[in-house]
Amino acid sequence: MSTEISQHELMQETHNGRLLRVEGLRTYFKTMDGIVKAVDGVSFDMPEGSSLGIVGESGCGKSVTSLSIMRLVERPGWIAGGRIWFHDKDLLHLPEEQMRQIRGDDISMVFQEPMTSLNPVYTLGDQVAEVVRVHRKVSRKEAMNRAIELFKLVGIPSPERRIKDYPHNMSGGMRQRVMIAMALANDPDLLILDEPTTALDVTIQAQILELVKDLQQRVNTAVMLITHDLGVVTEMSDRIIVMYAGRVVEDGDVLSVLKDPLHPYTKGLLASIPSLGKKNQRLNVIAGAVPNPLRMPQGCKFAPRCPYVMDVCRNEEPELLTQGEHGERKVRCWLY
Amino acid sequence: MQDPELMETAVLSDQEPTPIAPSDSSRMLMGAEDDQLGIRQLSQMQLFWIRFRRHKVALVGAVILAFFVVLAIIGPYISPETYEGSGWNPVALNWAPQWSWHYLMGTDANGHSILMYVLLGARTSLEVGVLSAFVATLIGILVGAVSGYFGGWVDAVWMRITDVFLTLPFLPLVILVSAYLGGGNAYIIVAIFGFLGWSSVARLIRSYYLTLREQEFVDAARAVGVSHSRIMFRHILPNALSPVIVSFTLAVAGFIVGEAAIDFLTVGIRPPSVSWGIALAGAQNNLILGNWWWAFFPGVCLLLVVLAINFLGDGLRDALDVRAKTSE
Repeated sequence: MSTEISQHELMQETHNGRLLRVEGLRTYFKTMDGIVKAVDGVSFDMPEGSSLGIVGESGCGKSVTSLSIMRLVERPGWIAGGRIWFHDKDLLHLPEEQMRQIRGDDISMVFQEPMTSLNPVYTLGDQVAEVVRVHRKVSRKEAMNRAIELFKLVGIPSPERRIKDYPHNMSGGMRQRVMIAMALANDPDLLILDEPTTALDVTIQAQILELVKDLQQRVNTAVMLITHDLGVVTEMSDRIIVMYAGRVVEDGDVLSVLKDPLHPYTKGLLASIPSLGKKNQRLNVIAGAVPNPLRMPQGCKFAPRCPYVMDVCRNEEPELLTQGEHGERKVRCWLY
Repeated sequence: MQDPELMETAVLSDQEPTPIAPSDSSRMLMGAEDDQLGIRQLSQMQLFWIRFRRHKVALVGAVILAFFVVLAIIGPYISPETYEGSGWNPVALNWAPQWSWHYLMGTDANGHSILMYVLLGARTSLEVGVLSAFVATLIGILVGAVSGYFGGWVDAVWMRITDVFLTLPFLPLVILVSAYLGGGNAYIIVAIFGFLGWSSVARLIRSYYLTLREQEFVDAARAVGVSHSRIMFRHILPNALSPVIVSFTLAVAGFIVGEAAIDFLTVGIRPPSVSWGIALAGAQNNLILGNWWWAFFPGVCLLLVVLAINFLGDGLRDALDVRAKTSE
């Protein structure tokens, strides 16, 4: 590894508080009709302790990106190329056993479905304690105490009693708290939340998001939040990445992206948020649908739905180029 | 807990539940929502017992089986004679049943007590049945778990091997192997049954693993760094335990019949070991003399045990049905 490090000048940056660097990640799926490029050349950085939101429609490759970082992409999918640097490790070239040790210890993930993500036959305490015991050499009792501590941290009432409960005794919101407790069990450097509130009631959503925000400040974990809800990202993240058809189309800090979206797709997403108080108004929608992944347009993938489409868009795909006076923003569009 | 919203939920769900039914010694399982609704949640064990009790035939089966288990344990101590000790008894050849412990079920052509066959045979039958089913289930779980969990070429290879074992003609092969290994010993029979009889269990377990490995809790376990073997046997297996228990039970019955069959064909257990199959084998030439008791008593025992186990298996299958509701 050391020779590789010297070869990559990028690595210099990695040591300067850079936690995660994804470079040209490509994750493909083999289907009966051909190869689906679910993630096709995605790059971004995450500094330590930062918060990043990844947004986009269903099927744009958000979840596959996060699964690729965890190296949990399963057949018929595979990671076709790119690099994922975590601290100074190249995750894509790590032996499976080392990767297993990173999962749940240095990088944790919370899934969308709290109702089915817990094993129905074990108590909640057992399941949280297991995560501790998989990565730390501690006694069963110590692990249980840690579980109680974690339950307190995520705001589960009377944790001493709750650790003996089974998943079916808990509501969705409470189960999601347990999932977050499991994810935080070993103080991970990176916490990936894959649509953590999609399956929950609106009121419970707010509680879970509050919790995550609060925890992020207290335990200083970098949080990658994957969602289709721009409101949630505004609430939770400092930086936002907009994905479309397996590519990053816009990348910048949340406030400026929301105030002044550059990419027509981001504009469309923002316009399609229904606002309260405006009655009898048609909802704004982005016309059309995500292109068939097997028959991607030749040029810009958004061209068929884009209101600003030009001839060049249909023939050639734009690069993800830096914008703005400080070079803080990136956009993939021929308009700029 | 600095967050006021969190505090509120905490207070709400922290109220002590007021159970409708008086709580018994087993701990009442209460959920966050159920606290407020006061619904009584039953533990898996309670649910199992409620459903099993409804299955009367299974209860009868359990009682009969329990009786034979007791027989198998105390049989050698209450048996009127041992096979070695009895030898040829010219005084009591082919006696019909009569009111004495020794001759309660009559005697065979050598003057051996049939009761002795029944009592000592119970142990052999149950021992061979249970141990064979245990070995077969263990191998079946291993093969089924590995092929169902990993899929792909691992699955393809192991399932073709399973197919081969599934299509082997069981009885002729057992006879052949038993003849080759010399038979005689119960443990050799167990080994033969176990290593030839795992294929259907493997198929069953594999099908459960194919479904269960797609469950989100498996992904969640992988995402926190749990190893494959731990996921296979600690996370998935407990979820597939009901079919394992049911198929184990039915395998016991099957292997008991199988053991009696190869004893009957005189390639199984041999004297001085005693089994019901040996008694039946000896009886076949003497039935014509009207010695009904020789075949009758061991035969009835065999029938009762196998029926009882099958009924029990039926009851277990209904009671352990995972699709059933979790509250009554």
